[in-house]
Amino acid sequence: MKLFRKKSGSIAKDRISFVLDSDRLTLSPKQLDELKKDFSKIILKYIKIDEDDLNVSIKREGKKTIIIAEFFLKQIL
Amino acid sequence: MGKSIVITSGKGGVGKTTIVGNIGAGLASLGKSVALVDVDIGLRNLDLVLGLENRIVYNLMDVIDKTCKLSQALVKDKRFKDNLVLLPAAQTRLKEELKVEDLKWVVNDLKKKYDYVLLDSPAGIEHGFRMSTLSSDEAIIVTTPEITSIRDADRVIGLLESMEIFDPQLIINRVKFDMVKKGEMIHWKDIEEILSIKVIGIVPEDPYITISTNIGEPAILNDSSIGGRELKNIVRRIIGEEIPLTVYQEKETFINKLSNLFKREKK
Repeated sequence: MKLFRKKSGSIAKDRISFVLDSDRLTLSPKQLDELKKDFSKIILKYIKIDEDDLNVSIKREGKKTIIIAEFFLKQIL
Repeated sequence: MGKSIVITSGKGGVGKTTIVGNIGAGLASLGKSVALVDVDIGLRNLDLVLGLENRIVYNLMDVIDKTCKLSQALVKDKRFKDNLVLLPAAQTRLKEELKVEDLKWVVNDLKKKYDYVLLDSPAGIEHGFRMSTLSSDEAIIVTTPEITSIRDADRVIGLLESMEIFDPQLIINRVKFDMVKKGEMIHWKDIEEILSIKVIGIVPEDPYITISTNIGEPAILNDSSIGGRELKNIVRRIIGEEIPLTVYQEKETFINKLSNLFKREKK
């Protein structure tokens, strides 16, 4: 159905974001995926989180490059 | 003492040279003195954008080899009462022949005489890019909304940082606003966020740019060119004026509506 087709502009955004994360960390896309999984595993040891809902991104802020991992808690605080 | 700005992109074909020519012409028409340096040795083109190709006698490499004086190699653009000069690239030499200390002294000499020295960097991230970056105080990166070009821009930002040029600014070129509206072109706000650098201009796709290169007259000199108008705003932002980012939208005039109606019916 054309109505629900994802617009190519937003596909572009997702693809470039992923590829830049991998470029900036100098990790292959596969390694980046593994890193995300390992991140979840560590957090899961202590806290209940939604395993599949994880955002890892790399951001530049002036002279610093920051890695940001966002986990989503299963229970509402 | 003036300042030197490198215009670079990583990816080729995004409009670097056109933008250098236009910003140069724009600064000069505002009364600033400007020297443009074509660092794309072997692939000279800035002369064509400015319509100065017939007036070249010497080039950058001649200056470095001391075949001529720096002032002899500068091609003056008479349209701007000599406020704009071009130092052309050598067409039959190799980029690798250029040494950083040589380009640095040329740029420093120019900075003593001109308010702005703009360096047109070659595409890529190799020798020519490094030379022009290492000789500059600031950097402007040009990208289009294509993800291939955005990726290369990101790489360039990283490399600039390693060469201690922080806070480069971004020009997003060839934006097709109708496609952005339909969601079929990545939004400039997303590009700004992804690259996390300051955007100093969003230049719409404009067929007049081709015409302006055809005739050797920068689009910035033509008030009816939508690309030229935004380039003019970029120039004013460069000299420190606070001008909010203008996002061009075609006015829905009655004739526009009518012609769109006809177009639709033809399909």
